[in-house]
Amino acid sequence: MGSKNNKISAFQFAVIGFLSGASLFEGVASVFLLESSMQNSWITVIIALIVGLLPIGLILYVINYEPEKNIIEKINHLFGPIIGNIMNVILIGVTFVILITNLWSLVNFAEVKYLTETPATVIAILFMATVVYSTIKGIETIARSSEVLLYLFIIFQIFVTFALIGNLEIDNLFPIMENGISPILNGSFKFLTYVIPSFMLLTIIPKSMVEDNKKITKYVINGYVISMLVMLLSIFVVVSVVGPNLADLYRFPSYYVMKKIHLTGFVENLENILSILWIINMYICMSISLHYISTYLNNVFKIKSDLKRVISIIAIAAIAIYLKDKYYYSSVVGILIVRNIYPYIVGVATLIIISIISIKIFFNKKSKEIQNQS
Amino acid sequence: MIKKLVIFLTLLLVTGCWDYRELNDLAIVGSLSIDIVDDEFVIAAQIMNAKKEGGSGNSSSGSTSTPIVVYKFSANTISNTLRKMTTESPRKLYIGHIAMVLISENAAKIGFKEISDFLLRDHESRKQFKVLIIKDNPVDQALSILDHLETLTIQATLNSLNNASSYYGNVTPIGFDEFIALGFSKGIEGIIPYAILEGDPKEGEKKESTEITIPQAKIILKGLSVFKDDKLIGFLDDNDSIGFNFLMGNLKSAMIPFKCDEKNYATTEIINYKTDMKIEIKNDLPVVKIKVTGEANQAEINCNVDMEVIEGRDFIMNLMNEEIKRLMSNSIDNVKENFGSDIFGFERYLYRHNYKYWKKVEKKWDELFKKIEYEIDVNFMLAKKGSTLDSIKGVNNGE
Amino acid sequence: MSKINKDLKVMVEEIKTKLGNPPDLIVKDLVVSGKKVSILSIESMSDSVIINDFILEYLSFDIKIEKNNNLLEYLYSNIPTNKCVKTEKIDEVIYNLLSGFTIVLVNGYELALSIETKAKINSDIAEAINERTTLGPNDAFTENYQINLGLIRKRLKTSELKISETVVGNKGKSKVAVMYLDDVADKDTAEIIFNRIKNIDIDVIFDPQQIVELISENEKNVFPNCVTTERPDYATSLLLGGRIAIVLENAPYISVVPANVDDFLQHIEDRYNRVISSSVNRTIRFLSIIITLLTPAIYVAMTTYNHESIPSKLLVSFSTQRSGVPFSTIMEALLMIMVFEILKETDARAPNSYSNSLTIVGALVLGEAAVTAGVVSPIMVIVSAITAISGLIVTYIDVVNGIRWWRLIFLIGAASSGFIGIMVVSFLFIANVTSIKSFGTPFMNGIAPMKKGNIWDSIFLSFENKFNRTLQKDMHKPSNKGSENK
Repeated sequence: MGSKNNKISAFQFAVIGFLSGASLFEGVASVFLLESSMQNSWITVIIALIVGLLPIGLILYVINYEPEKNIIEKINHLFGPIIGNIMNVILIGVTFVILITNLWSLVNFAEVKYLTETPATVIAILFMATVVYSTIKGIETIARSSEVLLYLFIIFQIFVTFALIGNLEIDNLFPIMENGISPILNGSFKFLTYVIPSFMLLTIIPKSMVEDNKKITKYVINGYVISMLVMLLSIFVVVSVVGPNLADLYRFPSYYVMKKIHLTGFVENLENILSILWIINMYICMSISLHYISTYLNNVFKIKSDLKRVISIIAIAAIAIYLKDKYYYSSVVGILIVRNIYPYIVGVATLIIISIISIKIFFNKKSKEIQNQS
Repeated sequence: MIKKLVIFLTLLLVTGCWDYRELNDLAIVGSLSIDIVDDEFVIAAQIMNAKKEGGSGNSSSGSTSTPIVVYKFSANTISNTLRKMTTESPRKLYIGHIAMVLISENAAKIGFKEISDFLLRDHESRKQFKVLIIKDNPVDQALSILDHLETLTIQATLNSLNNASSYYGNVTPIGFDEFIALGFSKGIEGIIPYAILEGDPKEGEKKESTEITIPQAKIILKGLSVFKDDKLIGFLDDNDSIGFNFLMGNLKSAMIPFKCDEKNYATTEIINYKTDMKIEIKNDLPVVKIKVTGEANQAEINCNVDMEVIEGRDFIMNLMNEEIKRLMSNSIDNVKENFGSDIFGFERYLYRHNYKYWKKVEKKWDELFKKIEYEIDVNFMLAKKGSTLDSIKGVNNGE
Repeated sequence: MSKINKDLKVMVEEIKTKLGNPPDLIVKDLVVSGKKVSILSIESMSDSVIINDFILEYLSFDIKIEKNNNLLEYLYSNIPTNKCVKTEKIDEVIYNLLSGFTIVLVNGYELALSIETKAKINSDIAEAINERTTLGPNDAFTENYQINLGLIRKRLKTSELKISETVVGNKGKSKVAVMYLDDVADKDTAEIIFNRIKNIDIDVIFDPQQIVELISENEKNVFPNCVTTERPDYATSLLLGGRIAIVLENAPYISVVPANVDDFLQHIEDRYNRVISSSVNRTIRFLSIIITLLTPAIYVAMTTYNHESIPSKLLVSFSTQRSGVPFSTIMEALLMIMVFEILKETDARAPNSYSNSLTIVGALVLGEAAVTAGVVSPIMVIVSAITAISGLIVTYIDVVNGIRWWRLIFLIGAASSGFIGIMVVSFLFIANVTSIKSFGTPFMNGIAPMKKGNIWDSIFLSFENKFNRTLQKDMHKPSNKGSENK
């Protein structure tokens, strides 16, 4: 516990990103996609995939600079204490919003589909307890359990896809681009703001903690592309099996599509078990964001002892649950916030800060080159 | 220490489980029937009886209660009615396993949207149950009939629906969510199979009716009913339903009887087929081109035809193609002229594949549909199957 | 730690008093070449045949040496025995005497000779009781320390096999050996283990697993830290994988550290059978572990919270079966699991004469009678039978206990929130299992991270890994070198 020499492999590093990237898909991003582009949702995702490579490139650029430090130390190093602190606080705020939104999404899903009469706070405590436990054990545990959960994810995803192939109706995907390409472009920009911030959370892990870190770039880009492809597959299956109009009606379209799995007359009604697919994503995203906040507090308050670390993690979790109850107090308000406020706070803030950091790194490197030459 | 905390939390949650329901606190509803009388919903629920008879091991002999129980109530919303049923039923109704919902003609005429919000919104209900419209009879009587071959009537009706659509072809089972999807899709209207009750339903409720060989009360599937927007506007008979199913590709295997000389009929069995539908624009008017290809098999030849020679088989084949073409054309004409509701999806085809034209004619589609022209091209191959080579009537002539 | 007295009589009296005049202490006085010689041995520990045949027979010959020569040195180089040690401290003399050695004391010299004449107080090499193979070597370790070392040396006739030995226990003073293969194992870990064993402060140790418990730091997990085996061929294959073995005197099994999740899914017979059948066996084992963990939890969750998941045809049947039962589903599940565990435990402990009546009672209680009386429902009996049977596929006791513990936690999770509870507990389970570290090496090192070269190897068995053990070389090195947390 708390040992500084933990090593995680590059594959696990990318897997954390992969699983967190798709975390807000079910219930938030998929509903948004269906509303804005209906049967063209898959085109939106493809365009988002291509456009999103640019922010991912910037994030990788930030990761590769100064491999010994994590992002908090990098910002303090580049910008000095005052501006650095302001930027760090902004990033912490962004991470907090990610944490609370994921928590809300998870609790909402569990509440609507499974446990309707249990108070939401109880479900929140239940899930937070798991996240707190794995964060206390350290980043190595988060990385390893995300790898194990990845195998579970792959098995279930393949099963769902193959079970639904018989129900695909390609005709549901027409007409293509009836209103031109501008609503699709708008939709893809906003869709990206749900995906990219989770990759930003990866910067909390310093590159030196990763074994064979030459492969980070390749693995992270692969992870991002595959994550978007999984979402593409999901929305493709949803639209073509059920049709865009009906899918638009439901809050969790993938859950609904899984209800249609019907094999050999006996294997049906598996959607309860298969929806662990999306819960895995939200769990990993919450773990890594809690780890981010706890690392920041460790840096700022110079916490070294284990007990204080544990207490700080539990305190952050309790604050998160309280804030969720205060701001996302009903699903209607929650959906409004996620639709209108979340992309701007989280997505735009992340992009701006990452861009500022990259520009500063670029200028620093240039001035060092000039210094070395002269 | 952390582990103790976690254990403590989980133990805490065991004590007050809010959603805990034992299996035998539930009344498992097999099917519902919905009717609207005087602006009130009249709901009847068919509950599967899960009472253990005597001790275990001797459940089938000497069982005294019926396998199903029916409760009927009315109130002004569906969800309220279901809750009201607890005033009579000893258990709370659980609609998670509904297999079929029967809707009365009256309710369907008022509008499907009136009755579907609760079933769509409730998280417990499965949305894939099948729907059926009961014509001419009070719909809750259809729930109370006991069946000889199956323990639950609703299972009997479901099986009959599936089998009739597979083997006879005049109905096609449609799920609740599929119907809603059809209603939401632009350019196609929904259809629901309908049935009537024959016999005496009062006799059918009694357990003694299953002890007589001839069923006293039966549910007979008749065909498809036509909707426009979400209101019921009419019924199709047997042949038109078969033609419709042919067109939409819903038939799995059916027998097509046709006259091969003045008095006798021959029958061929459809094995597999494919329907291609295209709409072309000629003089700014849509023309539907339908092409059907497939394989059929001669099932029963009651005329004097020599099936061994090419002319004989061609003769039967042509007659068969003609008959299929006639079925489909009659079906399209009937729907076009009498109902004016585009259940075939012509408008949807235009929406999907020819968006610009559709945008032009969107507002006046109703009149266009009434006069739409079509061309049908049927081309079935006769596969050489069957145990006998020649027809029975043809053998005598050959000698 | 006083030295040996030159005076023979005083010396013998001192030894007798220190041992409290035990009745099995034999003292034989001789005169050899004019000097008085005493031979001491403890009858219960030493083999009198060897003493008579070799030592006394030799000493009864006419040994004549010149007056000024050292009789002790002469005897030391000439007594026909292969293990003869010169001792000069009394405590060592007593220790050797109590270990079964024969002490030769010569009047006037400050050294004593200890000659190894241990009696064989143990059973012969027998068949392995707990870890059986259908077709393979079945010899097992015994309680004799040297025989155990020999069984391993027999299979690894290489000079890379390094053994370091020490003594553990203040009163027990049992010998402990730490063995490893030089070219594959991590020498630093072996040194740390050896040093920690030397620092153990305890009276007696009976079991190498106790040693592992004492030298490792975090014992809060339910899964074991080390692999204990009684088969030398399995131990050899573990050593080849780069692990470190701890052999203790008087224990018929050895412990190998570090432990890995692969060991609990594997059986040594996998390496003897063909690759395809081994892969199928491993898959069955893996699936049965999952079945035994999850079945009661899934049953409880499906019938109390998530009724939509049961196939419709079974729902009425379950409901009918439960209609006469007074308990709630959770109580039923806990009751049945408890009864099965009690049955298993009594079966393990009861003497043979009672086992027949146990079987009858078990079959009666859990079979027809309980169901007919309406106390449990038949489906619950089936569920607990499936759970118990698939739980028996793992024979290693610590792992069985670990699985039992987690099964209970899954059941509690299911009872509190249905499928959501099962998901939450499975996240907890995965986080817990992946964070176990045994001596610096993570417990899940084969599955997460996956071994390079062959993805399927932990679940199935690949042809390369069956024969080529070098794929495992880096798996057992500690993941955080330089840290103290082991």
